[in-house]
Amino acid sequence: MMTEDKMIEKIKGKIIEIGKLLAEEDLSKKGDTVSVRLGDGILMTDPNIPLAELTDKDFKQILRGDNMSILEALHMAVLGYKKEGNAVIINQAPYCSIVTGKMDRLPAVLDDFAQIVGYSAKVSKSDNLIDILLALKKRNACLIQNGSSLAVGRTLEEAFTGVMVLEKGAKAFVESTIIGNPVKIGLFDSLLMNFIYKKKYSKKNQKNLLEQFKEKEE
Amino acid sequence: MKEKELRNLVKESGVRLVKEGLVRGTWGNVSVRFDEKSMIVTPSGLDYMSLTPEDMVLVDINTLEYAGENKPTTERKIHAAIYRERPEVNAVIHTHSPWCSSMAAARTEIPAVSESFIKSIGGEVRVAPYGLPSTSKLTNATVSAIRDRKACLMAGHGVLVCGESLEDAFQVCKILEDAAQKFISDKVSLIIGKGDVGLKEIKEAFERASEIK
Repeated sequence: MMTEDKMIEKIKGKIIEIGKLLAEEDLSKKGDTVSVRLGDGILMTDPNIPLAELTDKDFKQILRGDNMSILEALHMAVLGYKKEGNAVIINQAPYCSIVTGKMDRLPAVLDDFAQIVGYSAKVSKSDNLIDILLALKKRNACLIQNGSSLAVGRTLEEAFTGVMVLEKGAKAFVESTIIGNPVKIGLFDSLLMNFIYKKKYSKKNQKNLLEQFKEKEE
Repeated sequence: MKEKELRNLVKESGVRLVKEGLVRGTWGNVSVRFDEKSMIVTPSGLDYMSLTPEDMVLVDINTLEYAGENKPTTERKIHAAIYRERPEVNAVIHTHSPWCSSMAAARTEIPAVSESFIKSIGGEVRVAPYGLPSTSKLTNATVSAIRDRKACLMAGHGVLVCGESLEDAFQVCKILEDAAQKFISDKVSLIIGKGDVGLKEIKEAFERASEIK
């Protein structure tokens, strides 16, 4: 059976992989961070290291009660608020940044956005922690006033899909506005797709990451 | 062509679509006609880069029954309906390519911009009205919008392309994506009065277009 240290190394490896993918998709800049739930605390990447250049030394384990930076407190608070979530990605994506400066919410104009994010993604009123948590109410993703995007997932892959869909939806919204006609996905259709998506994946990924890795090993 | 060769061809097409930036992750799907009664399609929810030819699924185009452990793409109804209706079609590709997705979000046709475009695609690219994924409404709307054409946009969703071969369908995907990019870039230029279009210009055009609304 695998020791906890070895499992943490495996989780780090997975985060490094996700970081590279984000950079390949042009969805990452210096300052972006990824965290995962680890027992009572979190394991988080160093914001000074670009996600594409992460090594297994660029992680910090943070426990409840530790002294924290604002960014560390945000990751901790998001996972505290979203009990079903196990992973958080905060990144800077080009089209999401365009939307945050102009809108208070990004509506769903593509149905995969409606399915995975919901009828819309809110833009937080400020960079303040409480405002960001308010923007996440009933949602697993939001945009942050400073131009970043945030997605929570039950797995790292789900959080990664969240930031991908946010950016895809932002690009479609921005460009369909330029064309002259962004058509929102209907509220009923959005709610239905989002409900089915959540139900489909609810049983699969309820365990925390450590347990998920443990299961894979067994 | 034998089943094994076709499976390999579908797998290679998936990888090619990813490399060309026309497909990301598990989005989109590819199929080829195997014989009069069946098609070979990509499975549901699996990454193109890690797929093997054996992962592809053989599906009956009349009953939609399939063999093997992998579940075929959820869009199999649309693929099957096109093979049933269009005997000349031997390949179908569905993508969420970035520029075409913006056109699909705007539910705006891609105009036939040149003789070669008309020759390749058949005319302007119509938009199939919105339907929830995997529904008969979406299947019927898509089959109707692609009639006499090699492509149509799916409102709020993506793009569907068909061809006499996978190579033919792949080329149509590329032509469409280029046409959609040009259509949007021309709009940006028109709004801001500048020729070269990058992210900065798109941002400026978006801000101006938002103010007009």
